[in-house]
Amino acid sequence: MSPTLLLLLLIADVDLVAEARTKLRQGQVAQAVTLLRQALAKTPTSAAITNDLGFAVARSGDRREAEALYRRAMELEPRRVYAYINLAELMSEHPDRWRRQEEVLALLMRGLAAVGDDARDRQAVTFHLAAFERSVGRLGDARARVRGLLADTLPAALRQRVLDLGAALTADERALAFDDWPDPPLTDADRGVLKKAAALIDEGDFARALAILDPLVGRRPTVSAARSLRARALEGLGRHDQAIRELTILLQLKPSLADGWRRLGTILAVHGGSLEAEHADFALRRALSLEPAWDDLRALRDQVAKKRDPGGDRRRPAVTPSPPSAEAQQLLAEARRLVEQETPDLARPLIEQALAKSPGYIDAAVTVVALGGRVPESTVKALWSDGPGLLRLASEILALGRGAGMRPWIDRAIELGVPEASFFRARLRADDGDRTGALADLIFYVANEANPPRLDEARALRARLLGRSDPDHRRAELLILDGKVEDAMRALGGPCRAGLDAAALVAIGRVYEFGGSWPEALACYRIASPSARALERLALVAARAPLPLLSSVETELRLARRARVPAASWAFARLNEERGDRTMALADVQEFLATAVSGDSLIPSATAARARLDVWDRDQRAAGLRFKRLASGLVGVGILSLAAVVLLRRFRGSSLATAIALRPALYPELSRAIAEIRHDLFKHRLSALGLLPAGAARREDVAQAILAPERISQTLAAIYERVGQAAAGLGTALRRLDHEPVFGPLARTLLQTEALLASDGPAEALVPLERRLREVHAPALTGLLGRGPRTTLDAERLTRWTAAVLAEAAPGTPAPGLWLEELDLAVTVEEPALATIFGNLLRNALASVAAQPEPHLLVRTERERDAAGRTMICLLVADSAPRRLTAADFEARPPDRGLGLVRDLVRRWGGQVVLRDQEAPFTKAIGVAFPAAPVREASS
Amino acid sequence: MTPRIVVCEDGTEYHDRFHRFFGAEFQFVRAGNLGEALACCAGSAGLILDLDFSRTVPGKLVDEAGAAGVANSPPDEIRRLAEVQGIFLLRALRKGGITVPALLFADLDDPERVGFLEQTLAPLSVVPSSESLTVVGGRLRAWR
Repeated sequence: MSPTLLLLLLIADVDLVAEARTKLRQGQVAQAVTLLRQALAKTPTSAAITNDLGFAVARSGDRREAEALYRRAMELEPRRVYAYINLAELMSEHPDRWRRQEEVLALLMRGLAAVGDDARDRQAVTFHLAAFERSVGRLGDARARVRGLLADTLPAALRQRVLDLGAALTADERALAFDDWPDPPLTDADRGVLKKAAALIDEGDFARALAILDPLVGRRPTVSAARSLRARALEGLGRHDQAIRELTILLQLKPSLADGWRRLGTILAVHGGSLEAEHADFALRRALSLEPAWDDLRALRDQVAKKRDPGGDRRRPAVTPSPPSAEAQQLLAEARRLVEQETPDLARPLIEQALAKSPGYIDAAVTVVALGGRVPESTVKALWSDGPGLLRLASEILALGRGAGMRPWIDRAIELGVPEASFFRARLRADDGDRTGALADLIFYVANEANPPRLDEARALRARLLGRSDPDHRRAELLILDGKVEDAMRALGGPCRAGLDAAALVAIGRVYEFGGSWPEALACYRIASPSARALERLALVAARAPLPLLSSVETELRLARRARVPAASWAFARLNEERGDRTMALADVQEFLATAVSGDSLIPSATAARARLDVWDRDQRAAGLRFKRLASGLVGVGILSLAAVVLLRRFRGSSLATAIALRPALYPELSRAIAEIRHDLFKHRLSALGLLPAGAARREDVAQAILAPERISQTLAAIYERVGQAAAGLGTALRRLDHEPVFGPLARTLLQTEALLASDGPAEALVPLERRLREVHAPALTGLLGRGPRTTLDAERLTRWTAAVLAEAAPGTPAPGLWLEELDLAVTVEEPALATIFGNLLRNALASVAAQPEPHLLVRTERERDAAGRTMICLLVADSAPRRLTAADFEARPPDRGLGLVRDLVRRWGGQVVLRDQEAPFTKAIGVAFPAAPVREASS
Repeated sequence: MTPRIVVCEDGTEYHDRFHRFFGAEFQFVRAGNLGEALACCAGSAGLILDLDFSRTVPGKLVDEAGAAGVANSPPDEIRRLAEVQGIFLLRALRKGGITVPALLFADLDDPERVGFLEQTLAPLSVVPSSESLTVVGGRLRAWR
């Protein structure tokens, strides 16, 4: 062909290709395909046109031809980066991707090698490689690539996509990690062993318990009760490392086991060092998300906060094969050089020599296979007793996409005790359609090693084999974990009402329970009564809920007690002690302790109550004898009863600190009350006190400040009453003012001050009172403000909230990127309120970009100082939708949903709505700002 | 000559209290907004400021730049300005060349914030509610 003719053809191709691309952009796929076929017919060796045609064909729905075209483009031009990217995207959604993952990954790895040192091309292929790995459940590998990319300098658009992928990986990990693996049915003999082991542990004979549990766990590794008891026995023996390993496996199998997380977190927190602090905190958080009533764990979390070391990676090191001889290594290096020079025929003899020198040289054997050969028998023989080596050989050959004949090696690796081999066999079995066998291998894999390196993949494979069941409940459970109480309720069809089936009522009750709404939870369980599960939950709630709530469920509690639910006895013990019937309370406690399952978290409280009631019982008996002797028994009983009544009255209700801990939603009201006390009482009235003893003011002026227009103690009482009403509205009763630890002493000092001023007492007597007000009561009020809820806007929490929103969004909804200016930004707002605010901001952003072809979303946090000097923490959701929102738009939103709900919650918690313009590709950010939470000392 | 002190507040509590206890030593003049404060400040010995001006009509509030005219702003914006109006007022006064010492009565609970304000709005002292009038009186006398 003459140069002129070639040039003319190329010009004609350029026109056709340009027109085709325009058609593609306009959505006219069929016309684009026709034009590109014409262009390719003219220049069949053009990798660019081949790739473009592949893209258009893929858009038309023909995956098979598209894949062939991409592969052809790679052959024509191995550095054609878009061919690899397009193939990765095509295969990420391919139904066959699971079976063909090794082959696709090998192809993409070759693409990575082919693009060489071009940083941008490498980054682009790496990103798509990670996205493909995510699509086949290789979350760990994908995560490692994302980390690598983020450590690099990336173009802004790619960085955003990498951040999005990171968020999606986190969501996947969470979703998969939530599945429980099934417990096998127990035999009578198994049950007998468990019962005996539990009894031995209760007696403190941990060694014997371990001795009878070990065979059971070895024989049936997925029996969670056996693992749980074994962990307790190991803990009792002080073998904490082993207990941690046992609990880790247990929780791999049963991630919904709240008590397991509690135990693991506690051991790590108490006995672990800084390296375990991160792990401890995760376990404690997980326990709290499953059982929010465990307030003691919050204190434990504070303890570990100082020890945290986010850099730890406790995965086990990779298996390293025994080294081949130096000569063999030299031969292989030479062979590889020849392969790179595209003279593989010359390389083969060298590799054969290397393998002759070192038959177990895995790298050489894999290179043989890569060049189209077979693994020599001598290599298999050399590795036959080397389980990790065999597995490595098999897995690397699988990675080349040549899985045939691997099964015997993997079976052998399993025989040799390599747990990871079970995972590979599960994959082979899954590909062969052997679902049962694959699941058995996966269970073995997860149940025999703590933190197995391929846990994510195992979970993904299991999910693929089982399919997703009961999506509503699954979604609701995830939402509960994320604190999205209202959304979880909606997913379950709540609120509770007669006519719903018992399972649904119990599920909704659990949601209320998680949200701390005990009255509603109890109402659900009461409707579901006498369902056994409902009675059990009802008793568990009654065992912890404020006592005034229990009177409405006494009938159901009796049913629960009859059904031998131990928590019901403990609930009655609490009720009877509250009513002053300590004899009955003691009997109830004893009944609970006799029937409670070993390890029940209520046991410590009940044991303490028994000790308390025993003392009372002994005292009463002793007192009874003395009174008999004195023949004045009746008087004595009267005195004791009076004392009991006084004590009961004194400690009925919660202190303010406890009330905030139980009901963080009370904090804004308390905060307002303290501001009022400081401003109206301290600043404008009490500050004059010091002038009188100093002779700098007239007595009547100071008296008027304290006693008019009403006595200052009356003002305080009115403020306290208002807080009490707010607390009652939230289901918590406050102690009487004079028994409240902060307000009570303040009230007494005010009364003494008033008395002095009203009675013309000596002015010097005011000095200690004035000092006490300044030095004791004012700091105590400040201290109460420091007890407010504290929510940290960290990556884990924001990712969790994001995942909850995306879980209910339409498939394909883009995940936002995450940009945290600092890692430890905290605000004094309770988590459910903040989660609701964030959820509504994100949902609003998702809705506004829904129609955009290439939407951009970013969640970001930042710290800033405002003009009033406050340190504000901003939580913003930026989007690329063109429409701006104004403050007036916000104000006009209805109160009970969306941005209206955000507005009202922000007002309630003393924050501000933030509306900002953003730089491209974003247009605006909508968010909130709250004052930074004060730094809190970790409690010890 | 009796030193004159300007009291910026949305009510009359500060003025009444200071007048009652220190009226013999100082002359206290109340200012309810920026315009009144600017008019009173010339020749004054110092400023006393409340923080929260929730009772002031929105049209009289100033923003962080010292600009008035937020009457038609949404309630949240008005609330935000009113809650820290004492600071914005002082900022506007400093911008207007008023350099007399000032006391801002506020419980800020954040030493960093106190430091920031005392530095950027100097000469200023932030006084917590627990401070006795005996001590406050000493601060005022230092201005004479």
